[in-house]
Amino acid sequence: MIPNLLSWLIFLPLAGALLILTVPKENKNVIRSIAIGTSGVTLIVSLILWGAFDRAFSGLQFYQAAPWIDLGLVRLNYEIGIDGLSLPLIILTTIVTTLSLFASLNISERVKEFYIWTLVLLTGMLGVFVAQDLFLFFLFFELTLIPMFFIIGIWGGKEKTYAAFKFLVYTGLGSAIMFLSFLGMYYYAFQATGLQMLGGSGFSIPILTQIFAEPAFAEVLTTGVRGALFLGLFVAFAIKLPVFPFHTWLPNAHVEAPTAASMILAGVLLKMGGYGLIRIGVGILPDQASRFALLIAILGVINIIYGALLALVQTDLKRLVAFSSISHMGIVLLGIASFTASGMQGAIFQLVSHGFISALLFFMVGAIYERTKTRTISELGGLSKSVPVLAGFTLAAAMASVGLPGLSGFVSELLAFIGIFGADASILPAAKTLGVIAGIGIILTAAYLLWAMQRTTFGQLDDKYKELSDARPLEYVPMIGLLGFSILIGVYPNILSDVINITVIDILSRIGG
Amino acid sequence: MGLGVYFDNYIFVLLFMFLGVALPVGALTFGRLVRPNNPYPTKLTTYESGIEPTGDAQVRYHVAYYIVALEFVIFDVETVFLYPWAVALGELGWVGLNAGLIFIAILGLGLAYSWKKKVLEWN
Amino acid sequence: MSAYNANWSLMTPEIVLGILALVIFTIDFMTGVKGKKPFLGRMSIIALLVTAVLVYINRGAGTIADIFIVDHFSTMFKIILLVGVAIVIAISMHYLDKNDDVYQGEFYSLMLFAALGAMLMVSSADLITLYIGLELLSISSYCLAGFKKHNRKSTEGAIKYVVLGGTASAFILYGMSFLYGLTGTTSIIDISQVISSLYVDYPFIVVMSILFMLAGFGFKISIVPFHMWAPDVYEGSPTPVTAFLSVVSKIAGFAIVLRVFFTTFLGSEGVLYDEWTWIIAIIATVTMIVGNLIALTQKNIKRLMAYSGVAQAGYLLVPIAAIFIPSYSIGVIIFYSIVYVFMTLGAFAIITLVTEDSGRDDFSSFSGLYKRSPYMAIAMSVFLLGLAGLPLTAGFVGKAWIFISAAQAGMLWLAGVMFVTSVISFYYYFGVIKQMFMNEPNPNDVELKAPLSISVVVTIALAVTIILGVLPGLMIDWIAYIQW
Repeated sequence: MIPNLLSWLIFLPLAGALLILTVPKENKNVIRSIAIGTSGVTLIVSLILWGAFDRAFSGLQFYQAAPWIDLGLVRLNYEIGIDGLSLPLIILTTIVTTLSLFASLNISERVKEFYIWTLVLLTGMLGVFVAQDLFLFFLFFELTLIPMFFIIGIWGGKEKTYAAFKFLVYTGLGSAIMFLSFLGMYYYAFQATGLQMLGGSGFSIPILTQIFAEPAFAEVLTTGVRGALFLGLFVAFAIKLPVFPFHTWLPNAHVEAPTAASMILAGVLLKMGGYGLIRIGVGILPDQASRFALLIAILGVINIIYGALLALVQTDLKRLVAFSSISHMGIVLLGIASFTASGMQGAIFQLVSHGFISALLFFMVGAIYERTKTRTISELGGLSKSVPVLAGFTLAAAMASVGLPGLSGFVSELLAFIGIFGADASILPAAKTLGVIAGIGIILTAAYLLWAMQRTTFGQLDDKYKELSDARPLEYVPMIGLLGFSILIGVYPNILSDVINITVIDILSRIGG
Repeated sequence: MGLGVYFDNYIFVLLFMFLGVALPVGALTFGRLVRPNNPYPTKLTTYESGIEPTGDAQVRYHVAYYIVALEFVIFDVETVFLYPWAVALGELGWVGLNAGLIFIAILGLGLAYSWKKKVLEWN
Repeated sequence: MSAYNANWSLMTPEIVLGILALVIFTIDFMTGVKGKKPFLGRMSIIALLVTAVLVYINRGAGTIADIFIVDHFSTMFKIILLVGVAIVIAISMHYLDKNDDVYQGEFYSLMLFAALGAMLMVSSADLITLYIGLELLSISSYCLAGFKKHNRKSTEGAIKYVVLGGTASAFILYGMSFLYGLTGTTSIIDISQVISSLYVDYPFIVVMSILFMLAGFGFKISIVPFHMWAPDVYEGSPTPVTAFLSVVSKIAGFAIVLRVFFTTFLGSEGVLYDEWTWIIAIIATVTMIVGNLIALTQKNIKRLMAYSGVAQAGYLLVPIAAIFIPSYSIGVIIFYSIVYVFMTLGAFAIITLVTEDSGRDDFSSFSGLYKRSPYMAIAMSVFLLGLAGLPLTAGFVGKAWIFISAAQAGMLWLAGVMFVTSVISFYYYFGVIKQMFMNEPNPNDVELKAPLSISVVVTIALAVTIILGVLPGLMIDWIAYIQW
């Protein structure tokens, strides 16, 4: 086995970015090839990880730790490792990013910068999913902020500046709350154990997990302290996920971002919120997570219904997809809040599945917009007659999003709902009521997506759209790739669940009684 | 010794302030009471060494005045330092002599500077 | 120990710098009043670097007659300050090259005298020495601020600076007079030995002394509410002088605040600490909030840097307010000071380059800088990201260390204020970045060629900012190794 495989995974894209830096900006095709090549190699590395991953071992694998900064009283470590929660998201990240690079081939302005930023972004995202030290996690989390700001701000749509700054400030505030919660965890762990135990690594996730699970420290780590810390973490990740009422940055950012960035935003960046919530919120403070299960579940239901209702009234196709993301992220919350194995699995499935589906939807919207120069639903129509392939994939993506059996959306929603209906009443009261209300939201999802499809792909074809060209060969790569993975998970969910399973059981076991 | 005693020392300051205000005010008031009062226009004009005032009181002085004044102050203060230094030179010894010479040398450089910059010339 | 048998060799660096400054001063007026004199700039840089080396060779411990102290603290700060002044002079060389209407040689010698004053300040073990150093630094700064004497804004700024600076000095003296009145000595070390018992008898007077001195020093380091002068003076001064004020003056001020507060006002076993920790914490909070909020509304890059500097001073106050172990706080402040010096001076080098090229100092002069000079635009972004505290820059590590030290002292709320205000600062720092990368250049602005001095400064600052951001251990280990 290659040593330090995870470090290679994280820093390969950065190396690719540095390589692009040396290429003159006129050689656009060289730059594009380097970017796609780098991202492809990263994808291969992540697939090697997938193959070598021990599915029967619940701890961290490919673990690597080294001291990084010694601040005298505390050491910040370079500590990385993956488990069944990180691995699917790493695969998702590499796949979606690689395919989004294919989707960005039509970018012709400032190509060099675009690919540098995308590769830096890839490093940041992968870093978040492998970091096992809170400080390192925070570093990578913040690192994703800068490239996204530039990508939206330079290559975005009409309101790009506003969207970029809104994204910046919201995400920045989220990371502020997150880092304060991290500091709080460090401070109280430091209070509880003194210098010796933490002297080594005050921010290490495995060590903090142990400390917060230790009943002997209950005197310092009181319920009030733990509750406050959990709520801090929850708000921080809720902004990223996003959870109502912290979602307002999302429509702006998603709509204004160029297609490739929208794919990454919806496909991967949102998942960092869900991942953080499970890894750090539920992982380190499981008792508090279950204590606030009802709150999480209610917010999840609000997200589902609210996102769906807003999606229903959108006139802009891209905004519709953006609001559908908010709705779908509610299912993640619902799955987590059930605190059952299937619910938790459903949440992780939803993270992955929505990653593929929303990326595909954004790609389709981008492809249609590129040809028709409009995203207004009422101006489109009958696209199945002029661009049958594009219309077909759009329809397929919408079906996957609705949750048609055989596609990945179905599996994740099914698991989440099995979870919510099987939830322990002592943890989550009124689970069934919430489940039923959420079910209405799913019906609404079907309504807005089918209605939108009916108005865009079917119906009367406007004369000006008769001469549109259908999908180009290179556009098939992301379309087939993303839809393929959605079908793969939908038909054979075990491919994912046997990786996730043992980690989910491990996390749930921490909740105990 | 408490804070009260500390502030008690300020009684002398207050007393001094009181006297400083009371004496001139008292003297002027007393004078006003006893002197004859007979104002007429010529008497009310500003008196300066027997010369009749011309122009405004707020005139702009030439900037060279300030620079010369600064030079004057510098060398005036220098004297304040040099007198005690010269008197105590025997006790201060070589260290004292050197310190004083450095002081004079720096001032000398300053003088050379102002000479070169034509501060000493009056145009 | 009297002044006669004292170990005067401890003062070698100061004496050497003083002589070299006088030599440069003499050469200047002997070679005519006007005209470009770049050789004097090069000489000044060499003088400063020689002095820095002497400071390093001369490190160790010792005092001269209890008025002058050489310890690791002063050595560290002196090196930071001297390197800072050397960089400022490198920036000035470009500025003076573009503006030959100002007297050239005097500019350099005033800078050197100011550096000498700052060195005296950080080495002072006596209130009188401290005051002399402070005045030498301040008076030189007043002259430098008004250096463009035919420019209204420069003159206005200089007058404000003199009047308010004089007031601040008066406050410091008044606070010192309380201490002298109580103890009968001006030696910081002697005062620190008796202050705890005096505090029991005269708490009011001791606290008043702390407050007066804090007000005076607060002016020098521009913390709220003593920051009002900063925007006007920063805007009016020649840009290198602005850099000087925001870096050298400020760091020297912090050094002396640390010296006075950590030596004198900590009291034995920190009995006095409780008295002022809250005051500083509140001032830090207000400073961070006001600095960052007002910076949001600025349209002029120099005023922006003024308010950003106010906010940065607030960040530096946090470890002073939240002391877990005093020496640890000093380490935090020294690290952030180093980082701050390089990021700020790097930014000012580019600001000088851009504003002198376009003749304007509003944001629009930065429009489309990435097309005119990609390297400068990228470097500027790195400095601004560093000041904002984003990852992979030294500013991130510096701020993180401040956060962690505040958490260790149990002042999580202060860390919270600092973080939230930092996020506010994203907005204006990214505003400048937006100008550079997302706007088109003005039609009459052509490709921007940087002179060697600016390129060198920017490259050094960029290297430090990035290297300390990725491998901060290089510097932290060195700081931690020092015995305080």
